[in-house]
Amino acid sequence: MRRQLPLLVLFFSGMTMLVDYFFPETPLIHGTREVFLNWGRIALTFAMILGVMNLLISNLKKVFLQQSGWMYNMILLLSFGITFWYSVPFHFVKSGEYFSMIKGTDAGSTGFNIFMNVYTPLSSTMFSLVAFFIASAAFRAFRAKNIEATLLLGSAILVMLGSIPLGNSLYDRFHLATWFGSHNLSWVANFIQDVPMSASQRAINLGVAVGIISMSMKILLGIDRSYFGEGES
Amino acid sequence: MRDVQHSTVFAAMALMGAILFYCILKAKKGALPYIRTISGLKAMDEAIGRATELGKPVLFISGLADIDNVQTLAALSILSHVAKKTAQYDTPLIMPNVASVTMVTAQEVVREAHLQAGRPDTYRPENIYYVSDEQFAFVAHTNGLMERVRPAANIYMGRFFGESLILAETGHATGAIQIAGTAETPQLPFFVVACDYCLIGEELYAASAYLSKDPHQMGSIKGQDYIKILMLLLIVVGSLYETFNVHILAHWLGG
Amino acid sequence: MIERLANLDRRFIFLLLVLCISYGLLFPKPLKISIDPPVKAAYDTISQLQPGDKVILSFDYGPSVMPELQPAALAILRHCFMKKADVILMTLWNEGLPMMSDAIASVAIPMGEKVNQDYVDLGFKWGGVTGSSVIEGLGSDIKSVFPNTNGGSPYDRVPLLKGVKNFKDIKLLISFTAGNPGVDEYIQYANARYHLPIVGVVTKVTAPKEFPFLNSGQLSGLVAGLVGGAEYEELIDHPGFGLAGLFALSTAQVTIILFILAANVLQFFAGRKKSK
Repeated sequence: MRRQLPLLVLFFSGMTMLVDYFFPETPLIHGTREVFLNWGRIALTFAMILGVMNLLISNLKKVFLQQSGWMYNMILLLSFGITFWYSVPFHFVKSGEYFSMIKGTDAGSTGFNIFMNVYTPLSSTMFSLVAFFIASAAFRAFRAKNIEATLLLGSAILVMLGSIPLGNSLYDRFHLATWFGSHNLSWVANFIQDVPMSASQRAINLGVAVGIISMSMKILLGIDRSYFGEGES
Repeated sequence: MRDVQHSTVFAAMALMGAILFYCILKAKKGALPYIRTISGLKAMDEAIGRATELGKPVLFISGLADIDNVQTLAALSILSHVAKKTAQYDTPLIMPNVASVTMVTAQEVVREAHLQAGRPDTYRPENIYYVSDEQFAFVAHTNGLMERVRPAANIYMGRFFGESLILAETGHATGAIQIAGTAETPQLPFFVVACDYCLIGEELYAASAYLSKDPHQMGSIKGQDYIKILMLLLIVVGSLYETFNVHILAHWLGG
Repeated sequence: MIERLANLDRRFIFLLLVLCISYGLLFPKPLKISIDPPVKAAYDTISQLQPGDKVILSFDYGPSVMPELQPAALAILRHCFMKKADVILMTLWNEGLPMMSDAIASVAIPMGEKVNQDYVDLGFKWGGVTGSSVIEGLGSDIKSVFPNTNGGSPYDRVPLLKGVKNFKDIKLLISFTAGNPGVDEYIQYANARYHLPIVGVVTKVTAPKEFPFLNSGQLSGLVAGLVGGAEYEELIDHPGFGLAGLFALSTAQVTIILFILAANVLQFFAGRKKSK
């Protein structure tokens, strides 16, 4: 029963969602679907608490045992505490005839300032690493070793140059428009993205969609249970 | 059905389901289909072996989506296989998680794998932990982990977004062998460039069948191929129809 | 020597890139900008808005992509106000709230737009990974999803929202997206089911994924990345961060292209030397 019960729940809830798509006006099915969705949201929200507890416990353990790098765990705990303290509380303010709820994340609040002045720059910094890693990956990997690689290299350079105004300026300066039927470089870049790239994207997406349908069916019917930790169906 | 669009969807779903069922039943009777070699999956054992020889851990990342995403489920299927191998070889498996439900499921998957491998004593739940729901907080932690711990094998399976290149490049810099798999088409180029092996699109979904060699699952892969052939025919016929201004097919498909 | 250059330590590459981007930021030059058809399509769609038309702006991105999407977001918000459309701001991401606050502070307030009359901030609603419950809720009854505005005002007491029940009363939806839920989900649930016109504003990396939707007409326009934002600023004739950062972006792109070309040239000579 330990193994059958989750599969039964999975099957029943999955079929409810599926049937609702075709018969949304049936109150019983639609109502059941809404109940399942609400339960799912509630469960996921409580699961977040589970994750936070796991994070706090594992970091506290490292601090108390003074394991290697425990200062960093202490910084994490302090940051968590300070952000939580300032972001969660809220109060009501009367403005005119209405009461407005000022949350800890509203503009001007300390929580908002922490978000904009600490989290935002840190997050942007991490994302900006992509630019540097693209440069190093491109330097390492974009080598014309064979015909396919050369074609890829050529089209990548055309798309990159066509995406920026400087590329168009260089293109016009060297009068390269005659190579592509008097079209500018932006047109060439858009053509590459519109035609061959879109075609390959659609092909991969079609394959992925079929894969999703097949995998969903296998999970719904209990054929694939490897995510439960079982290998046999 | 409310309108012609939904009836088309129902008919398509019924047809695809019938094809998949037929192929699964056929495989169950013993006619196992041939699945071509997927180099990324074949290399997984090699990667784990390398980590064992070097005495370094294996890092597994199941993507940045929650458990309700199909890619995460596919990743957990692969985790089951990886966990079994690492249990057999007594190699540490580290798995930071972006979602707490995924963490709990992954812990269960790895625990089961250790049990099946006959090594329940080597299971370490503290190696499968929650980091943060925030994308770049998770990436910052994982990058630091890679730099400090220096895993010998990095396996990225699941749904990834803009952090894919950051993870893959950092892993490359540490000298790890890297295997990636995602159905997110914008991230595929980054993984292809920075990783040693890459599973593209539906290869991620086929991984469970490929690794388990389970007849039911292998039959479903064959069924997927038949469905794709049908789609191809539909595209060719549809293009010809539209070229000659015949719109019956487009109307029937809800266009 | 050639082999060492061909396998150059990546820190030198990072350093050169930093120097080139710094040059671009410190010594910007005006560049002649050409408008891409998808951006023009977005501009034309928004230009067709009449005074009083309801338009939803969904800020589905976080601070990490703020430099990429915020210029386009501010330019489009400004354009909507210029057309005197009634703007409804919302987000499916919890990180989108500060982005919205910043847009209101940067555009709405300086333009003298009045809250609840010219624009309304509905705030954030979590609809799961796909946002489907929120989007489908908006399609049937917006009030059931957002019973109050972000400031706490009841839905029925907001002048701008009088007579606005669901997507049928909305003229256009503009989704600023960095991932999921975002424009893909709006196309799936809002456009496919309710035939609501959608304009997508996405990062440059994910733009290729949206081209099939643009070609099929499911998207009425597509603005991609900082360059798209700069083009939109050019179209509304209001320079902002998009145009300001364009030269630095261009120098970075050209630097990367030069790295690629240099690597190939070095590899070629290294290969010749080896064969000798």
